[in-house]
Amino acid sequence: MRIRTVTMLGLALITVAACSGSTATTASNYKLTLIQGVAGDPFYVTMACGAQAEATKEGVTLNITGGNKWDATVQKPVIDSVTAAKPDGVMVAPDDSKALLAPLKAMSDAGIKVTFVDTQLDDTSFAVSSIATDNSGGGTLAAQTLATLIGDKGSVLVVNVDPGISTTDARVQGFNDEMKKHPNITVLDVQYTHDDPTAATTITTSILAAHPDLAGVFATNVQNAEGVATGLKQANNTVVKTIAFDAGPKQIEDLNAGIVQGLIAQDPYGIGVAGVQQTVLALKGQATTKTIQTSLAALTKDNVNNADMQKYLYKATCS
Amino acid sequence: MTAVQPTRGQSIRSAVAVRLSPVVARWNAFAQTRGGSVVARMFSTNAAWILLLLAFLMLLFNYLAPGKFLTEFNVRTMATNVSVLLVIAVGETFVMATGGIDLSVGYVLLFSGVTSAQVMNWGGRDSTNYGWDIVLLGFIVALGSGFAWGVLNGLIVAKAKVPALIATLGTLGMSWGLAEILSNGQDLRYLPSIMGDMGASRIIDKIPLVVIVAAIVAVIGSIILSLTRFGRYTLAIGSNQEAARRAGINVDRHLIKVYAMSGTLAGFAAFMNLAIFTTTTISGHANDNLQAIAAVVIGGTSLVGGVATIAGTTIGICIPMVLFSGFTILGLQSFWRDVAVGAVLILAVYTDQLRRRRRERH
Amino acid sequence: MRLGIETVYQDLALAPDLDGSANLYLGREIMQPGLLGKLGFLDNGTMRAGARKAFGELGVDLKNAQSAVANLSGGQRQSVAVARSVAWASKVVFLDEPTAALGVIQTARVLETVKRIRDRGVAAVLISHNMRQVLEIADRIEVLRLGRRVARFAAKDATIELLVSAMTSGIAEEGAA
Repeated sequence: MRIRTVTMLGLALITVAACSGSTATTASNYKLTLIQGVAGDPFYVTMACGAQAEATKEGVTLNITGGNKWDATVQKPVIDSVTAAKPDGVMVAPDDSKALLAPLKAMSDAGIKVTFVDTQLDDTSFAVSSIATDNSGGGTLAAQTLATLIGDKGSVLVVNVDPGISTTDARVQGFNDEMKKHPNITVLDVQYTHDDPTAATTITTSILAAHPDLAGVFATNVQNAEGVATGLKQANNTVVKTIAFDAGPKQIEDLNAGIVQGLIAQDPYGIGVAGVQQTVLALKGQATTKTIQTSLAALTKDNVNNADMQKYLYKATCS
Repeated sequence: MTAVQPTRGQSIRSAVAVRLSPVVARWNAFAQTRGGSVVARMFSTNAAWILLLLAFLMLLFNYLAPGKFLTEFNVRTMATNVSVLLVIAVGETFVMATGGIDLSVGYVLLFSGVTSAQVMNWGGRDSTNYGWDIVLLGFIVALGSGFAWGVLNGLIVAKAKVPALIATLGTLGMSWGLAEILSNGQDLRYLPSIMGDMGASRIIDKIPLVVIVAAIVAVIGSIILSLTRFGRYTLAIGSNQEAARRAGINVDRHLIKVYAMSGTLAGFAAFMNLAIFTTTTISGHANDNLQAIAAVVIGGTSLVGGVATIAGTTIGICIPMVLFSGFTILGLQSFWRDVAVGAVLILAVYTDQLRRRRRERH
Repeated sequence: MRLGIETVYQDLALAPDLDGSANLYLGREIMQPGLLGKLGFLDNGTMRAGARKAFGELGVDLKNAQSAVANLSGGQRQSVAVARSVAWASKVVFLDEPTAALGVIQTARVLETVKRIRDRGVAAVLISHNMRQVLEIADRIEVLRLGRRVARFAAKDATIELLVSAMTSGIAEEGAA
């Protein structure tokens, strides 16, 4: 009873305040929701920070939610419940490009504006916009950087998450395509971790045991990067060069400590900002950009403290 | 000898008891009658109490999020999203009624889904346009895979006398590993499109087919458990395995049947899962076993067996989903959902224990 | 087991969560007639009626026939176990320390039941270390020591002293059987 009364009073006050004497820019109190790919991941936390900042700037309310595992069967009930909550617009990072078509189509059919952030479905026709990093280009950049680091010869390992995730698939594709141009580098079979750092650790130590001449590792996301770093530390290995995708706080630490040699950083903050912008444009009936690619940067120990690189560093909290 | 002074609490309780005694007397009189005793027995079961809890939660969320929680859409999607788990939980109820446990269900589901999808796509062909004969084949393969793992579980538990917790933990790992090997760690994403249509279809345009199917499975399971000899033997074995043996019941064979049932239902659920998600979702279902067990326990099944109802399990399945949906609609942080579900589980088991202890004192 | 010989075990071997009727018919359930029966459906009505009759014959009064056996008192549970054996035994009933955990009234009831078993023409073998009890109701007494029969008495000829000496030293006379 008290919660409801307080909320009602609060809304009444805000409405009164908004109406009285404001030559307001927009009285758009649109309600937006951000459905993260997985809650708690620094990449998505940073995205939420950007989204929240933009939401405040545009005067819309933003709700942030997500499953606690990268799992389509966990995300489906989240999507369904968000649809039931009837927001005006939703930015979503689907955990699977096919399995979640039905619930997201239902969301769009219910009149909610849907924007894909980071990952997307195979079918993007009903989305307002799809905003992602050029993941394929990121993979290419990673391959080039790694090739240089290992002297353009030796075997390399790709530690991936799961097949069927549009972003990581594109990164691996870009990496493999670039590596085809380096005949002296052998790419070992790709390994999958289901987004579990412990699995990444075990895989790293096992591959090291099987291939003592391993020269480089490419970890396709934050969780994998963490696991690979732990694995290398456990094996006391300082020879293997690691390139990881994403620059979470732990990865920056590892970069500075020399455990990881390069980080391909995305701009999740920028993705969050763009997501809110596009959704609000759609709600206002204005034209949107169907595909937006946000920028990437290759971080090394040398440039990680540069001012223009700061936006690429992911945060664990928005402070 | 001086009389002991009653404590404050005691005097309050006795004052309340005195006030309520005419009510209690009326209730006792009612409970002696034919109809009254049925009602009284209903309320002595846990199923009645958690049904009240479920109703309370639904009303609470409706109050906090009017027009959003108790909508046709949300009720429909909540029901859809528990249908796969309910089928698994029916099998788990039978297993736990015998005093056992089946931890392998989630991964047997994955394995069965993989084999089913691969058979339907035999030869690497894209099965999108295949017809009902292939779908039926896939269905049989899913059931058969689940059945095989169930029989294996039953043999290990009944014949090799390995404790069920360990036995099914082992088959959990084996089925998961084999599923990964068979699928090469990759989701199979091509299934006959009619399956996806089936997964999304609705009867009279309102009730999803998968919900009806899950409900039918639950009803059949309930009938078997309460009205057939198979059900009675299941409960007897859980209640006192030695007594069942001495009464001439072939306990080993019955246990194998019960685990086989659980495995087959996991295979059935796998097929439903394929229809709903149109992929094999091999990165998922890690917690299906614990969720099923929680539902069974919340529903009033004793952890040591002997007491079990499918009705209770069904309600037990709904409570975490209602919490999940309500929390998400209210915009509460996702991790609080897990806290709430854990708390409800403990609360449910605690009240059941209280009830049991009070019963034994009479 | 189907040879007409039944046993009441010391631990009763009842399924505590099942009711009296279910325990009585455990392993020997009555099925519904016809197709339903073949599918495995139980005929609970018939079984409950049969249970009422069987318990009634032995003077067992279960106030709530559908309550789980765990809710009954120790004596009532014992009675259910005895009634089960009696209902199915056509030749012999073995009772292993049936009154070991019972109070005075319940003990008396069980012994009453044992006599009724005998009266129905079924042999009752009571295993007990309670000599007074044995003398009270037995027709014939067999004394075992270290697994071997060392003495046999007609009850009217036996006294406690004789029984004890037979049990402890193995020396006794064979009374008229």
